[in-house]
Amino acid sequence: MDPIETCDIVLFTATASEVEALESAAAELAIRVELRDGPLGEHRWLGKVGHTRVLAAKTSMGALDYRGSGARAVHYVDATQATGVISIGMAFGCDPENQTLGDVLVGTQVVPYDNRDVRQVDGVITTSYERVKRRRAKKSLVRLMEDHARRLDATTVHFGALLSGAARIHCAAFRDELRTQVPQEGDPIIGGEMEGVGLLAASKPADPNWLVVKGISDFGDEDRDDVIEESRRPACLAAARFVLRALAEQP
Amino acid sequence: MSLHQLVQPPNSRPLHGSVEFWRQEAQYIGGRVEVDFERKRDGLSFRPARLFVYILDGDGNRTERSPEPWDEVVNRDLVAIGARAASEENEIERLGYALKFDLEPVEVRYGDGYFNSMLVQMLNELGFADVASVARCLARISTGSPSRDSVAYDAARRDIESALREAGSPLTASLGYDDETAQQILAGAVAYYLDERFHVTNRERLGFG
Repeated sequence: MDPIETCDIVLFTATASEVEALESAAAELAIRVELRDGPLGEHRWLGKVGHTRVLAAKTSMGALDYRGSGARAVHYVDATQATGVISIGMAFGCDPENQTLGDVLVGTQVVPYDNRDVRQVDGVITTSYERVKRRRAKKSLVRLMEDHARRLDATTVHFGALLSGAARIHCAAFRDELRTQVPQEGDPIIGGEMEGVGLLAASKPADPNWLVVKGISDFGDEDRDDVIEESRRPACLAAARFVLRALAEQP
Repeated sequence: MSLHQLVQPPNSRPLHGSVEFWRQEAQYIGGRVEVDFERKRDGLSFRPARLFVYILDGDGNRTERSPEPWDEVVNRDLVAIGARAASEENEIERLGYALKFDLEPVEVRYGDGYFNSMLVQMLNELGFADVASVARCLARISTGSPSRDSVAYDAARRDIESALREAGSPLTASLGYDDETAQQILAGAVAYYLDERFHVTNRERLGFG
């Protein structure tokens, strides 16, 4: 077993498609990816990407599982001395008019929507999202992505808040309920995903170390299952490419 | 407040309301303001930071004001009126916690990787590595070398040095510590900052360090 490497940033992926996309994006940039086995299990060492030493690890899907993003982020941050973690992969968009499959979503905030009150009101199960507290991402990581998007002059990159929770959403009405019922103060909601909320476990709310960058694989609506087989790979690749290029091309 | 006052240099800006109140209270009885910084380690994490504010009369009797959740503006203004921490150890922790607010803009400007490597290089150059508490951390931190080819090289150095000076100079100028004590406090604060930033104690506790 190799000792765990220290690094500046840990990238987290959750699915096989996301891992493949990371490796493809790295190959495009001539970044060598070494598969290693350390005290925390299998991980990928990308070495120095631009000015930043990068390690990548896989979580299970979602935040809560035994190997979910929450547990993995806590373990990897302490073990690697990383000062930043980025969750990359795929997400749902929520504005089909202005977003396209494969666009990149950079989460300046995460909106952990599972933190809600459910009551029966006049016989109807009613959900209140008033207790949802938005969390802001790490400033240095947001700035890195903003600078990169500016250099690219990209119109396919969207910055804003990401809904994050345990639901795999196939329902436009539920997506829109989340989008409109969570507290609106803050950045506009641009989409949602399942792993970002787990990263909140690995840093203090006032001193976040995380960022979520994901490609749009679907719109969280009834068409999800029809489009995702084709859209998954380009979505994951767009996110991985954007993040690795932001790191590699940092002045 | 007049329009004239609103455009004066920053050093003439009004103090935070609570700090101004405590300052006047202390002045009225011929005493001074003192603070106690509290941030308890709880295993691998920390409980929220708080500042306890005390008004000391001329005989050194302390009257406690209600504890304040940490606020960097309040802390900065408390420093500006000369409110020391209750002990040098507590001053180290208070400044160590405040350091991240001084250094964060530099990290945002240059990114995690470049900032981490430049910070460690500069701490070695500036003599911090000669202080045992900092040396302990540096020995357990691994960073890359900052690229000299980067356009950011000189600017990053200047900005880190400036942030450290911004944090260190009030120790003598406002809080009245002698030079040697101020150096010890600043170095201790840097060690506090490094330990948390790079998870030094946590890694040791988990068997990685």
